[in-house]
Amino acid sequence: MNIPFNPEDRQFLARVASTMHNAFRTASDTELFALPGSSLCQICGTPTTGYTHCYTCENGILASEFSHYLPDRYAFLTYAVSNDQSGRDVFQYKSNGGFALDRLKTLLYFFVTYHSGCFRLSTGVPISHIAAVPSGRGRAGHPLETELLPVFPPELDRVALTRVAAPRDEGDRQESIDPRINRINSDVSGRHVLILEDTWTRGYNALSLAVGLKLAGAAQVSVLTIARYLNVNHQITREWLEKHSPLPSFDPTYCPVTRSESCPGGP
Amino acid sequence: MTAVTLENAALVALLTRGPAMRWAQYRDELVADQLPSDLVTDSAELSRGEAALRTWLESAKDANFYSYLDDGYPAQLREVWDFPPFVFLQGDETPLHTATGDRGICIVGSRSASRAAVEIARYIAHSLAADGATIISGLAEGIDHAAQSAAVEMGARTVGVVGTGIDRYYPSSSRRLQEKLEAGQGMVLSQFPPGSSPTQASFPMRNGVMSAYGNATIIVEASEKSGTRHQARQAVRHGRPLILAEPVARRTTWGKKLADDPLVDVHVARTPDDAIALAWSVLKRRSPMPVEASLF
Repeated sequence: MNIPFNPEDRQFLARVASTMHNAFRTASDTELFALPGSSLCQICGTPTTGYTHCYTCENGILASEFSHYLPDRYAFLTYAVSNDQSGRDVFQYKSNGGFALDRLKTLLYFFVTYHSGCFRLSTGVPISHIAAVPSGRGRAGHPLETELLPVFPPELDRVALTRVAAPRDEGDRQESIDPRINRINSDVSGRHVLILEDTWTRGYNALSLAVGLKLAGAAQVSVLTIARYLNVNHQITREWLEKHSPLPSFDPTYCPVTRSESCPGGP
Repeated sequence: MTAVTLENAALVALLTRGPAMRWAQYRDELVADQLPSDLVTDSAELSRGEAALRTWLESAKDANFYSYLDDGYPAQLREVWDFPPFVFLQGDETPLHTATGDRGICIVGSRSASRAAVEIARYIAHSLAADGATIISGLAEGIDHAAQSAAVEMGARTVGVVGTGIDRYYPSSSRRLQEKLEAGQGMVLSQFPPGSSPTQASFPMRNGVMSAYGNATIIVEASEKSGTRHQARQAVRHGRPLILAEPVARRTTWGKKLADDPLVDVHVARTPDDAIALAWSVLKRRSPMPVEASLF
């Protein structure tokens, strides 16, 4: 991997490299996104048995009634594996802060430092707004908003949002894409909005917001998710992890937007 | 405070289903929104769990039992992926309930430590404790004993994480030190049921919990085959900072491998003062913030 030159960045990298693993990137690196025979879902990066999309993305997302209003780009910074420290961190950062929060902030720091322009170069449209996905229960002051969103510079306008409906199902889970669960109080028409989400399990919370933004007139919507959660209790996921174990250490130069070693518009 | 709750009875029932505890088998299900009582629905099994828990409490009357669901459970243990399902605590628990929590550094190393290393462990423990850090170790002979007795002698807080039941004293030479901690000069923590004897597996397990309890681990002296290497491995897997004394980084293959890897949070201390400075830099660590203007 390319070790960042700056000595301070090297110290920051040491905090996350051994526990975090770039999504879509494997040690063999033969499974580049969208290549024939790829066994990772092209939307969310979850292992599949040779299909281009996983079951949830195929049926819940691409086949949804809102399929014309889906995001233009998806980027994931790391896999979070259920029986490993990365999987614990994405839950724990909310209650304890500590090392877990520090690691997620460090991942975002590297994104802003190395890849802030990649969505713009990939779509041709600069990002003007950013929105943190509201928590399932509509609680204010969620750490995604209070701790992680501030890593992004104030020049990005914050989209004002109100969560107006509880998830359809019991608990914290959104069971399908539903743009009506959020009210968008900012004018985003013609704009490129970046959505910030902490964890993707099925993506319905982030996608409900994305569709809402498109319906509100946003020209481009890009979704940045810190972690794609991988549950080892799923057989396909477990077998893929066994085959690719150990996952490579986190490399901040790997581009989450192109899912390759090169950023859009050049290496 | 009562430890005998429905969830704790269900948890103990789950853990005691077979002769060996099978926590890893249930842990992933339980962190994904499930409670122990979702997995134990049979009333006879619940009663068995409750009875087992009451027997544990009876054998460790001076200690407190906390499961990972209880407020008294040390919050920093919940941060690691392989957190223990319960702990027994004995001694002064109040620092756990302050805003900063029980901020401490693990000082560990060989049981058969050199005289020089014993002095270094004492020096590091004394300095860190004087500035308010809790000294965490395993109440073993050698480096552990040196660091923890140095803290006790100056009236500072030290936490002993043991590889047996909390009602046991192992090795017996640590008995007096452990009793002082239990009496309130610090605290003793055990992740094993009362009465548990030391086994080959229990010490590496204990090292994992110790790594999780501290903000960082300093390895003062260790040999190639030293049990301390388990703590080094666990700290790296937990993403916890590890500070190696230079001889450990130079003369053991595992220490050298870690010290040479730029992708792990491992630091080499050339002097005892270096180790102290590195420990404080970890305790006062701040998250990075982008400084240069970035174009989105």
